[in-house]
Amino acid sequence: MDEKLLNNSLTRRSMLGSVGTLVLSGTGLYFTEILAASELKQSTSNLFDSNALEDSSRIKIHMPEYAYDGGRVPFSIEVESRMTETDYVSHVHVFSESNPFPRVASFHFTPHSGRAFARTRIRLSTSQHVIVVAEMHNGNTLTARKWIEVTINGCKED
Amino acid sequence: MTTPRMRVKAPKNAIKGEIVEIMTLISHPMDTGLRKDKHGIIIPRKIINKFVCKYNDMEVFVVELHEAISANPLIQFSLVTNDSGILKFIWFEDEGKVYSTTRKLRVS
Repeated sequence: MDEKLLNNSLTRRSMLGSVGTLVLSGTGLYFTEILAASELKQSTSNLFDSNALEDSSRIKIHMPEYAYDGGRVPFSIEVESRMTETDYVSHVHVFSESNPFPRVASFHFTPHSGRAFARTRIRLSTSQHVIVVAEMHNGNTLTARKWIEVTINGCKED
Repeated sequence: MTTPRMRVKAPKNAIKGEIVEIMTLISHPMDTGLRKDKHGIIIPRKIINKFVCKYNDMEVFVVELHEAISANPLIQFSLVTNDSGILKFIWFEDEGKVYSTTRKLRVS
């Protein structure tokens, strides 16, 4: 009986269903795939546990969708948080998917920051995702990413 | 190289508990170690690798910068005011050089 059930569960329809769920399970999975596929994994392994990442809309990445010059792309990040002594964002790491060096910056916030907000200008070599990982004070890690089109390589400007 | 020019835009007066925005800029080429000069020789890596903001000697905001930060790094962040005091901004360059500047903040 058990064996029959097992056989039944492996029909074509159920396979299609499970593939669908895999695709729909979203960017959390995508992120771990990126990490596995590139040098990113090495550079992130000593920062946080990449398996515990949670996709979050609390992270807001402000960056143009299209940048002509990859040498100076305006970039700002804000994570929704009350920023109290017991509940605050401690670190925000920024990574690039395809730059020669994947790490962009790491911001360290304290409850004295008031807002988990920072703005800077970044270099991007080509069209790619910019990935943000926010570490909360209680150990949770949230992630978000944004795609940007880049025309001129910003890492080799003369 | 000449001493980098540091610019800080921070309020002089604030109300206690207010969240203020601070913008900092330092003139620096942020050489990544990937570019070549006119003669085809690689320009060695020389970047500002860390920025610290101290509020009355307490670290309130720190950034680790990497090669992917643009030349003349601009950093804007926010801060909760509690006491009058001194804001100190410190930039750490590769090879150990340190640049810093201070601003007074009066909190009422």
